[in-house]
Amino acid sequence: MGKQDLVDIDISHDDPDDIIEADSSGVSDFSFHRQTVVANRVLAGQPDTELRSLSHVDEEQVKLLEHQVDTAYRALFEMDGKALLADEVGLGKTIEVGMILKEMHYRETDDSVLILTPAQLAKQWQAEMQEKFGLEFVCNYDNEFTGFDAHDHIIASIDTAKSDRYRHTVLAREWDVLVLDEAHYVKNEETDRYDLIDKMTYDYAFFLTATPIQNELTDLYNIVSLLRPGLFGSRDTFRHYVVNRNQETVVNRDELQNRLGQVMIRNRREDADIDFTDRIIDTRTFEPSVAEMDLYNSVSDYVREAYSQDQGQKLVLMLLQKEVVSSPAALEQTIRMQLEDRNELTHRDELRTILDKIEAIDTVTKQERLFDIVEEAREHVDMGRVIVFTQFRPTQREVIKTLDEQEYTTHAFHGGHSSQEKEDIVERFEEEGGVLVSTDSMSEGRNLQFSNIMVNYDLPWNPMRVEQRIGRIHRIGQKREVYIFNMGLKNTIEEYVLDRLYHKIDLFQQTVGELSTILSRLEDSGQSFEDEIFDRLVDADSEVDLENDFDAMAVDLEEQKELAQKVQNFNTGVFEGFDLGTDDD
Amino acid sequence: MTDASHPVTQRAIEGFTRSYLRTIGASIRDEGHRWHIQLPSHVELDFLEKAEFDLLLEVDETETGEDELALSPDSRFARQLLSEVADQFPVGTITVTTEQVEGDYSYPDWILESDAQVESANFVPYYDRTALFVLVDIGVETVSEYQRDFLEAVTVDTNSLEVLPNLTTTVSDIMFDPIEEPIEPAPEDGSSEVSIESIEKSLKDAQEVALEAVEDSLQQTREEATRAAEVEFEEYRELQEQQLDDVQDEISSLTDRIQELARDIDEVTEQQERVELLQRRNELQSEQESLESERDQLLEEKQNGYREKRSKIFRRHSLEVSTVPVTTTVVTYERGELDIRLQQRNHSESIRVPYAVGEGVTGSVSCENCGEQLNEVNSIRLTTEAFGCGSCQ
Repeated sequence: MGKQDLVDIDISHDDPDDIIEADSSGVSDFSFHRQTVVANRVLAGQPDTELRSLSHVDEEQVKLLEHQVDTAYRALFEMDGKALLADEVGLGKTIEVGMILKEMHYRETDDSVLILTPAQLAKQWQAEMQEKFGLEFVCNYDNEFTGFDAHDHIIASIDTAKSDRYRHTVLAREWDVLVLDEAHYVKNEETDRYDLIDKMTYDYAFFLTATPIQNELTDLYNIVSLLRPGLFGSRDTFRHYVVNRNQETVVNRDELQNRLGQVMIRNRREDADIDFTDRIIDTRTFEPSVAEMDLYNSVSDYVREAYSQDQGQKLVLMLLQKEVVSSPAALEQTIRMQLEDRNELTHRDELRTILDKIEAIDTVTKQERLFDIVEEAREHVDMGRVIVFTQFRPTQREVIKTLDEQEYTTHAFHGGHSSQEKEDIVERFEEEGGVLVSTDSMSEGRNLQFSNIMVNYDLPWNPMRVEQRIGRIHRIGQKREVYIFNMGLKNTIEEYVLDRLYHKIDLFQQTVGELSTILSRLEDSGQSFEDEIFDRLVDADSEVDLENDFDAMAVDLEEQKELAQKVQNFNTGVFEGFDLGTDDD
Repeated sequence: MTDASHPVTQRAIEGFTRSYLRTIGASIRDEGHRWHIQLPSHVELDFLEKAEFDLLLEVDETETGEDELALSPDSRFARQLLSEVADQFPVGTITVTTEQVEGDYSYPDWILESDAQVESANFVPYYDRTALFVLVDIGVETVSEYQRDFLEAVTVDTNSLEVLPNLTTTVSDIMFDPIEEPIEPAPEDGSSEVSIESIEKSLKDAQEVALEAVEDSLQQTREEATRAAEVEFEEYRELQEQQLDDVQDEISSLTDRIQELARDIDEVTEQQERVELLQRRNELQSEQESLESERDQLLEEKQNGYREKRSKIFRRHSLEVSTVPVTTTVVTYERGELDIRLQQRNHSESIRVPYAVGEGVTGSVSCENCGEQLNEVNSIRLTTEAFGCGSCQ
């Protein structure tokens, strides 16, 4: 910027009348004068730049890393509460925001907070904020959510916020804080999402993304301009000054870095000193008994048939399909409830037939094979600690019952316990060892690093859930290798989900955080993972069809994964050599 | 030129409050997170009617009861106390002596960077001089940025108007630590009488020097303000050009309608109808003329690059910078010579250099051998015969 282009500067040196007057009336005693000098010095200082809430963070729930504390500090105090947090994946951007919000809560500057996330991450955000930082948020998927004007601390999917139903209430409010997860969602200024954020009123904003640039450098311009209008000048200036013609390289790199440094923080994995131990995955598929296979086929046929007649029953049918591979007990509970339901469309005869087939099962294969794993653990692992995850309470009860009969030490953990009871259960598990059988209500904040063996007794169809389970034991601070056992029945949906999908995308070996990037890409293209699985299952005309369908889905996923990887690499390339993270000194 | 602002931490606030209350003779009973304060009978705080109260550390303002006040960086008590004290004693004196800096001499780079070692040093005072240690507040205001304040510390010799950056650091160290008790300065011996004229002149200089110290930040703010002005201008330009397009469209639509009317007028046979159509055409023509004049004006503005508007926007975004000294301390310090004995290998020699206590070696020193100026790059060397430097050996 040439000097002749700059705005004028008008300088005035005011007369020090007070000082001259004070000098005439005599100088003060040194000790008093010193107080005035110090008072001026402190008054001129930045208003308290300490993270005062740090001491209130429960270290049992969250281990804060140096780069996270530094990021929270800089975003709040050096960037005046408007920052783009662009750490590489897996460095804990959510934790950084949690610290920022905790600090703002401590300073009472968080009267109204809106966190906008991709739909499938909203509940996870809610759990993390509550469990790690004690911050209560209402999520738009909660029953108690009644609108954006009805609560002060909200986590919502960005698409819900921009919908015709809610848009006007979101825009009508003056928010204290806006958090935007996966901020590359607003890279395009011609979308409704961009328009929503552009029109919102807020004092502080924290945007999160590992990949600020999706396609071209102007993505970065759009995102940053929402946070700091004018930082890059006009769009034309930016294009002209920073981007070269083919969009792939940066010109005036120093200038770009200089300006970006005012609003963006990017920590790199190699600098953050995070070291995860290895994960060892052992997927075990078992041949179901004849009776089990017969039951599985009946349920699958029933689900397909019932769905073709009434798609409104999708959720319960999906549930049946998941339960049949979890345990007969889980299935039985839902079937009985269906029978009690006075719905005209209930196919009573088929359901009774299924009940008969449940009765016919003597031995549950998975239960039998679980002994192999817990027995191995008893021999090789400290206090034989194993965590078994299931989605269903009846399965949990059955597993515990069978283990108890074999005189294993067991602990049950489910959503029905109070917080204190949950604490006590985890404490007892740590002290006594044995097998902890848990439903997915064992959530994010719970620290189970003292154990390193986990069994997926059944598999959620939402890969985020799987990652959350693994995250209970495979987290920063885990010092041992982590063993993950996946149990599945051959020739069932479990085998498809395990083999064709989860293994294809290396779900069990994903770097922490990578999965959410893939899933948000998937969501961006308008698909829901669970629906995709279910639709393929009920639509397939033959076994071959089904296999092909799942292969196609796996290919899609791989493509999303590759695209996500490409975008990550591109960003790494662009920001390479940029010093936007923690200072070394 | 030193940034004199101090981060407003809980520790700083506690340190300042304790130190100030002690200075005015208050008693403090420290019970951990609660300090019981009793002010002496002859002292009162302007903003507080109480003489006895409790200060509660790190609690929320709303959690305090009667006779309890919160003491934290944001608390009302802390801000009021700081504001009151900030204006109370703006002028003071301090004497900097060799004892005060504990004989810890400050050696120049041309010794520190050399291979020679200091064997011993001895300061020979010749005379006392006075300087002003000034805290200068620099306020920067723009329409696009928040008002921003800098606080710079500058020390200027009252006689020579020489700027003494190291003396600034020395005085700061003696005076500034809000947490530790300061080293008591040497008693005032009355030798620091400085005329009002001298003070005024030195203060003016200090203001200039302080401003230079924040030049980079000012430049950055200026660039930011310019960018904000450019964005505003760009929006204006786009709006005007949009308007120009709209006017152009309206004119062509009017032209079409006028042409249509002309055809209708030719075709119509009834007089009354013809008159009405002619009237209508006149109206549209006058509307067209008015739009054309608007277009011409817009075009003219476009052609001259919206100069007037641009300069108006740029004027509005201009920076207003004002400086004002907020405190001044008359510093009495000694000048003389420092006798330094240097040793290199087996040789040792003495050298005498002009020296000011608290500031260090003053002025430039040249090589005795070749006359070249000594500095960080051209450091001193000892030979068997005499002193030399990097240039002559």
